This record gives sequence, C-alpha cells and structure tokens, in this order.
Amino acid sequence: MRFFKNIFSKWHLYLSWAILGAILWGWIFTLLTSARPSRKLTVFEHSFESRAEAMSMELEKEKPENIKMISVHSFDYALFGQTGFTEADVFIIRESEIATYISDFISLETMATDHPEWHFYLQDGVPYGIQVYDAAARSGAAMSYLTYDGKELTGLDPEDYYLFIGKNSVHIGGEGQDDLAFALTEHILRME
Amino acid sequence: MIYKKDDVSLERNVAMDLYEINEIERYRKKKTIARNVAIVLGILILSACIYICTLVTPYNSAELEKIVIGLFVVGGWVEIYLLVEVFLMAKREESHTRLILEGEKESFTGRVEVRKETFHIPQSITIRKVFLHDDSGKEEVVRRLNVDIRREKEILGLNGKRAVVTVSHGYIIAGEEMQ
Repeated sequence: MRFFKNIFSKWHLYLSWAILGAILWGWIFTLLTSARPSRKLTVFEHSFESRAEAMSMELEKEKPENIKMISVHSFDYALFGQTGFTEADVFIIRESEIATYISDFISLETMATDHPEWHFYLQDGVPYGIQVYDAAARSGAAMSYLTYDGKELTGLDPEDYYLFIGKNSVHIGGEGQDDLAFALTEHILRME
Repeated sequence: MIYKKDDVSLERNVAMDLYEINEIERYRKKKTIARNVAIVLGILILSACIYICTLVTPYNSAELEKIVIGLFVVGGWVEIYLLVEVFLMAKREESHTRLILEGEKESFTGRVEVRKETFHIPQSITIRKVFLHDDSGKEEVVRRLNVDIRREKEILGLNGKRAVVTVSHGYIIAGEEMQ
C-alpha cells in the first residue's frame, strides 16, 4: 500500500516524464523521417481509399540516389501541414476539382510531345494534367493502390482522375534542380 | 516526576530499540545497489532506444516511435522510482540514523501520548509527534518528541502508558513500559 501511496504522492514527476518522453521522441522521429524538399518526392492523391504506404514502397523501388524518400499522402494529410501540400511534386485529383487547383500546377507541353499516347487535360489548349483513371472504361494507373471509383463507398458518380505536377516542386528542372517529378509521373503511370 | 539520565548506552537492555548500529551500513548498501541498478538500467534503455532509431524507415516510424516512447517512459518511471524512492530515501535515512546514533542520548519518564498528526520534513523523513506528559497527576506536556513513522509501530503500543523513553536529538530511539 505504501508503495502505491509513495508513487501517487509524486504523480506530477511521473506525468512530466511521460510528457517529456512523448515530446522528445516525437521530435527525434520527425528529424529521422524528414528530408529536405530537394531530397524527397511527394505525391498527394485524392482517391476514395488508398494503400499509400504500399504505393510509397513500390515507388521507392526505383528511387534515385539523391532522393531519401518518396511519400504518398492522401488529401486528408494536407490538413496537418499546409507547407507539405503546397510544395508537393505530384497531385492526383478528380476532374471536378481541377478548376480549384489548376493555378498551382505547371503545364506539361514537353511530356505531351514525348508521350502522344497519353490523354492530357487541356486548359486553353495547353496540356496540364495526364489522365490516370478513365471512369467510363473503369481503367487506370496504380489501381492496386488507389480506389478511384467511390460509388460503393459514398454513392458519388465515378469521374476521371488526372495527375498534375505542382508549380512549387523543386524537381521540375528549374535552375539547379533535377527533373525527377517527371520520372516519378512516368513511374506512376506504369503502375498497375 | 521527570527522570533524566545522561550517557545512556544504546546497547542497554530495553523493551525495544528503534535504531540499530548496523543500519547505516545497510542504508549504504541499499544506496549503492539502487544507484548501480539505475545506471545499468539507464544505459540499457538508452541503448535500446538508439538501436531502434537505427531501424527507422518512413514506413515503420509510427510503430517504432510508439515502442521507443513506451520503453523510455516506463523505463524512466522505474528509474525515478529507484532514484527517488530507494536511493534518496536510503540517503535520507542514512543521514538521519547517523545523526540519531551519534547524538547525545537522554532518558525521560512520563505518560506517552502518540499524536495523530504526521509531518513530512522537506528532503527528509516523515515523523509523528509524541508528547510525554508529567506523570505526577498534573497532566502537563513536559516533552514534545518525534518518532520516525517507519519505526513507530512499537511506540504506538506505549500510547497512554507510563514509560521510560530514550531520546536523541528529539527523536525517540528506545522505550520501555514502566510497571
């Protein structure tokens, strides 16, 4: 009885230690798992369900040497960090959302020239997005990882999905930059 | 009637002695063991946490973070217990016991009243007040004494009885009921 009485009399000490442990190791793990934007590639997707971790691991199989990690996040994740969202490299969004975000993406003229077989989303005749899911044909890229058709889950009519590249990405071949966002795009489109 | 006797030997034959000569050595050993166990445990916990950190990837970080936090927090609680409840208590008991055993001893006679209230001396032990009343019929409190609550069991048996108590630095170190 005295054992528990002694412990309870110093509850603040034990509680402080628990709080300190959570904060300290939370911070250390953030450092361990984070990387500068130039050393990571980030994909934000807005499918109805995703196996983001499995998709990340699959993408990392072709990870370039100078890249520490490739992350796939759902749009919900963006609620916790606006910076990560705006600086992301690749976005996979529904056709109905394009108008909201189109100003955050770059045009893809070069890719359109290199890959005439791909279907592009055109804005004023300029290619911006690449179709990754065709709702009518029910086919698309990375379907093992992303659930594009949300009819059963939400009752919403299925719609096409497009892949875009963010204008704030540091992997789009600007001055002193690599162009890994394009390589990542090609990899995603190859995924089943 | 108050009797006062100086130079009371600790080894004298009384009904109970609350302090023993070899206690200091016992507390010293307890301190050493607690400190060494705390050091070894601390090194083991930190080593385990660092090792787990080397296994971290972006995909298992959430799981490993929970494990490391659990290990660090629970291990830390054990460390706190060892240092605060065992090491520091042994250190305080050692210095208290040394003070008592090396102090001047006096004996007093009177009716013992064990008070209900206890008092924790900051950074030291918890004590209970014991009053010694004049046994000439006036019922005046003639001595206000202390007893370490960890050793009070025998003193509680003397409550309300006439007794001769041996005192050092105001602490009861021995007592004997008088017929």
